[in-house]
Amino acid sequence: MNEQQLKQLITDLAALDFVHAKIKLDDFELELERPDTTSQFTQQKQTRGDVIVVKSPMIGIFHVNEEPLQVGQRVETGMTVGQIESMKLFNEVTSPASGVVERVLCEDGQTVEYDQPLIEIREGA
Amino acid sequence: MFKKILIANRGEIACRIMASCRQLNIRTVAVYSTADRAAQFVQMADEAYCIGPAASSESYLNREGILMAGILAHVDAVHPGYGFLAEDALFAQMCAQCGITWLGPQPKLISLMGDKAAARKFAASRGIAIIPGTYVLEDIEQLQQSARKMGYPLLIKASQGGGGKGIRIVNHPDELESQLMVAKRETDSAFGSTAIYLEKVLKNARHIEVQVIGDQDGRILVLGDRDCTMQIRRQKVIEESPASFITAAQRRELVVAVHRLLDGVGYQGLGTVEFLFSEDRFYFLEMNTRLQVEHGVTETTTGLDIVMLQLQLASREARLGHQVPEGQGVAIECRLNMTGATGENRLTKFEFPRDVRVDTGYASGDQVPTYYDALLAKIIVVAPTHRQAVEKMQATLAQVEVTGVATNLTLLRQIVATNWYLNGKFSVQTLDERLKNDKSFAN
Repeated sequence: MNEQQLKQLITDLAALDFVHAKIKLDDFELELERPDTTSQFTQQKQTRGDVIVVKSPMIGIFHVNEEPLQVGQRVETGMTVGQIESMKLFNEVTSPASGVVERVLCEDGQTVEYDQPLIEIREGA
Repeated sequence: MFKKILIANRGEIACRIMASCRQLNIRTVAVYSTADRAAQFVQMADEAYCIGPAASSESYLNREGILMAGILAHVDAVHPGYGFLAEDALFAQMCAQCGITWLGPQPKLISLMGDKAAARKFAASRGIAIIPGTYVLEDIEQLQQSARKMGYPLLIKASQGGGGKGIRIVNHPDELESQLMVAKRETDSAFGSTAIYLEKVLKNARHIEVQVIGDQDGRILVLGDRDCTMQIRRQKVIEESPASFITAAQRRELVVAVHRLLDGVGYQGLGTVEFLFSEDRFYFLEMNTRLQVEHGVTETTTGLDIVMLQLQLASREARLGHQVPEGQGVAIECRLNMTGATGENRLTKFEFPRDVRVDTGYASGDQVPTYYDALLAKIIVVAPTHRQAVEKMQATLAQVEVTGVATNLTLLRQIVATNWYLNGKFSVQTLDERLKNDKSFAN
């Protein structure tokens, strides 16, 4: 594989959604690792219509803010919506979007797993 | 006895460990990545926690996440299985700091054996033959000088490697310098260390290993030996227990060597001491401080459940005997591996004869994640003699049916049908050579 082909391959790959890729063509071998952007917990979001689900970035214990979020409350992008306590460290979970709290899906002190839905936000509303 | 154990692993070995826990009425906790949500081991566990995304660096290697699951579930011990964090001294230490029993040896022994050059030095200091070579050398001139003395071909090995990883072969003096550079760069990115050493390539070497177990007081017992010579690019494919092609005297020699290596060092839990056997001599290769993939062949011939024994010893509810267990018959294991991803990668058919032991983490209909190791199943047969065991494996593999995922099944069938396999006329390199030179072999 020449340099140009290699560059083309990388450009093509850039358009795809992957974290780890291993490509084998005869003697040619290419292994690529990309940071899993879905795990960046400030951007942890999954759109479902215009409702965004904020998911837990890690396993731990969910703690609400000092003034707990209420359904109907307005949140801005980057605002702390709660904390996950894991191995005695408190990790802030921030809102990936601006909007209105649609549902709060877990309680203060509750055990949450990685990727567990915490809060739903209706974007822009 | 422990009440609840977290298994810091996935797939077949997680299922295997849970089976022993059940026998002892221990509750089990699985931790899993988002790619394994539907996996057998998650369903089999009494409790399961998702700890991270598919990438193992953030899930099965996520020490904090795994420990947090252990704390939330109130487990009293962690079993690491093999791979992932099984030989991670830091994780072992962290478990202890959280008041959770680590089912393995002390962190300092994990570190010692994990550093392959240090382990060589340690073995030599205990009077065990090591493969001719060097200790860690930084200076290129020293390396060249040593290489001249050793002769070619030789191997450049990463000290933090092991298990057939981090090895480069040098066939000619002209290649040495460039290969050293490549090796250093590779080991730096793979293991975060540039420590390398040189080792001679032994002629017609066989891979023979010894299963050991240590109690809480560090008293060790040999549980048997295995022949794992059949390898592709230094990865084991077929294993056998006991090793059929060594004599009773050689077997005794191995037991003596293992005791010389481990007596008095305080080794706890399961471990395997690996040797290369060349021109009638054993050379220490490395030690794995954990449960091994191929432990099942030793269990099949000895009748022991070595995971159960490990749990009983760790909780001081059993005592070790003094005798190497008398094995019965010969057991052979074939590793059925996935050889490439195909579309959905779903096991539309995954069937094995019922009269043999099959260790697997999958069932018919399961999708196989491509993020982790390629092992689909371990097929284990036992018969009174080596020849009969080979015949049984031939008959067994003929009945195995796997569709939906590309596997090495055809290759396994071809190997067990050859005369050189039946008669033990092969070395660790034979299969690679056959695959290169004999086009009739499935690759």
